[in-house]
Amino acid sequence: MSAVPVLDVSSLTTVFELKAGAARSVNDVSFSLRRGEILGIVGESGSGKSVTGLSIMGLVAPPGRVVSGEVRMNGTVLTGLDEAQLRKKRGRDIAMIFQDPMTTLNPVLTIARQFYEVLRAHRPVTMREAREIAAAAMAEVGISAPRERLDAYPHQLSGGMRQRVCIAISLVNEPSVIIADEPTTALDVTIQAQILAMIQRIVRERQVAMIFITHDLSVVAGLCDRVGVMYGGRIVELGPVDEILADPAHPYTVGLLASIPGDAPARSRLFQIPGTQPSPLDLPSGCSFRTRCTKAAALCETAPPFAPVADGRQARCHFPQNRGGHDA
Amino acid sequence: MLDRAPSHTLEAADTAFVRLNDVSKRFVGRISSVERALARLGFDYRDQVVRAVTDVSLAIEKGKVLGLVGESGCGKSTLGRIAAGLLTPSAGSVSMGGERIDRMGTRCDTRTLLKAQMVFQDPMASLNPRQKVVDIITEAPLAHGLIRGADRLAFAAERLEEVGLAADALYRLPHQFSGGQRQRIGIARALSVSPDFLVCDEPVAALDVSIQAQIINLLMSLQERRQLTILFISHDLGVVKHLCDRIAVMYLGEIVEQADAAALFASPSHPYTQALLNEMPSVKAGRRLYQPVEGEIPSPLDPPPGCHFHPRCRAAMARCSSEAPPFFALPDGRRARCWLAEPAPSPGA
Repeated sequence: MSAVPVLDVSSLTTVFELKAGAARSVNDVSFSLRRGEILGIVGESGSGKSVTGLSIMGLVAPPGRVVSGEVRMNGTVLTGLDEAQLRKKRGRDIAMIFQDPMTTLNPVLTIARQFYEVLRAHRPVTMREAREIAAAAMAEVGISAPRERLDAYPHQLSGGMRQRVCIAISLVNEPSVIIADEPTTALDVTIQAQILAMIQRIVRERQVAMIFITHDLSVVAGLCDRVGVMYGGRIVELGPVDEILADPAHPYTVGLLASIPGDAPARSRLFQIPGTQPSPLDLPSGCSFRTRCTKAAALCETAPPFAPVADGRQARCHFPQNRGGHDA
Repeated sequence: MLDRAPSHTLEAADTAFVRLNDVSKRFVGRISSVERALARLGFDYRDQVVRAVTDVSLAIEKGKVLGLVGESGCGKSTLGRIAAGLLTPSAGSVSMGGERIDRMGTRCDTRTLLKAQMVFQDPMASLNPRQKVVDIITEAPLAHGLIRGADRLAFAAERLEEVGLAADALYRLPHQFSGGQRQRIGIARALSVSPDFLVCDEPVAALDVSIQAQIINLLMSLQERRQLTILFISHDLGVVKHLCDRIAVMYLGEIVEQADAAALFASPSHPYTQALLNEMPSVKAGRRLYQPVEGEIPSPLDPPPGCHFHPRCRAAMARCSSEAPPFFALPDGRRARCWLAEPAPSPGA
């Protein structure tokens, strides 16, 4: 892992201008990513984790708009590029894998053709060359008999196989950053483990940087190096996975971890975070978690800074849990 | 372990409240008349038969929770629908409190059928989007004469309170609620006819973690208060471990292992259960190298011969590909459908 970040996101803010008002789906999000690192972005639905991924890719569609902040990749400021320049970056320097491969793949094109389109967008290539590259890429992601599958259509493959194809396509132009948005959520446990094992191997071998967006803390625990926990459009806690899971600083992270069954004694009542996530149209002033937080005080009506709580760790809270983990 | 009554560990136990006996369900895709004519001329056309559930026997004691786990396509939802009396099995029988509810025997009493209810995964798909909450909850009890029209508002408000919703929800429509609240409405509807047996088919799979905890807590307290017997279907081993007394693991239409929850998680005996538990996502386990079982679930249209799991099994032997293993009884009331569980012939014999 080199020290120079491949991707640097600072104060990224994305707003959706709706009839009902302006929704700040991504609010002042900052993080950086190094080669060979997997950063997990975890949050519940509506927390802004997917929009963060789309904002980095420059794929936010109107009425959504990146209103401020900067995304810098290998020295280039992506947020300053126009659409034509961005198209040259997307798929070559930075690629995305989505949750549902059936909506990513074109249903009327063969697998080989889909590879060809992605390759040809960035360099001159013949169909014959594209087939060679595709077969090698599919073998790398663990598809058996890749040559026979080249002429298959997406619907002829299983869900796990389709997701493997999407990952292979994202890799063919050797991007330095891959954003994976819930790539295993729709898959069964044994297939999910196969895909995660493959992602782990590829990130290590190719030394790419990956943002892994998920709602599942246990996947983050098994796969990621660092994690950012999102709530109400903000990253409320950021740092190394093992430290945050063992000793969370933000009350939201504490609550999330306590509400997961499996580690609690059987049939004990699970911890419930009171209330529900606020609408991004109507976030509380100050700390957006304060209306559900057991530690909330008057101070929380002013927005807490994203302050360091330990070496390499930041949390957005006025009252972070004591380091050492003996806090009530 | 010996001081525990072994009653519910035997399928023949008399104390079982809900019982499935050798239940099978086949879905047949018939060929058209043209194809049938062509088949007679020697072309290869035949009816497609999916054996969704094969020879499943389960017994759930009164007031207990049985977890049914498996991956998509293994037949767990079909089995759940059969247990709730929504689907008729192709063979076998389902009984509750000694009375048949599978609609295969002579006519079933509607009152008995009402005692088995179901909670579905996606409340948006299982609640009528044009029905107000009060109607959703009172439609069934009114139709069956369990309550009087005059009591309907009070009754609906009571059910709502029971699942943790305020009475101002009565006149709202399903889309006006969040996912967790909708699931509460689905539960209230199931409870409206005072069931004894609840089949919950992935009731928390579509919910966020913090909401999941609320619904699991609600189900546990309802189960205790109403002495409900529950068949809890899920692919999430963490949830099942937390909630269930006993667990059945399903693979390609068959139960491959049954055991008490604690025993199953402590030492799984079937290789498929072992593989599932190995890959069980856990926050505590920390970073790890994934070592998944290879291959995908075969199509139920064309299951492999012998043990259905043998093409993916690390411990597969020669006989596994030809002979299907029966259920072997193991200590602690555990049963596994695997040749490895076969008791060694006793030395005296």
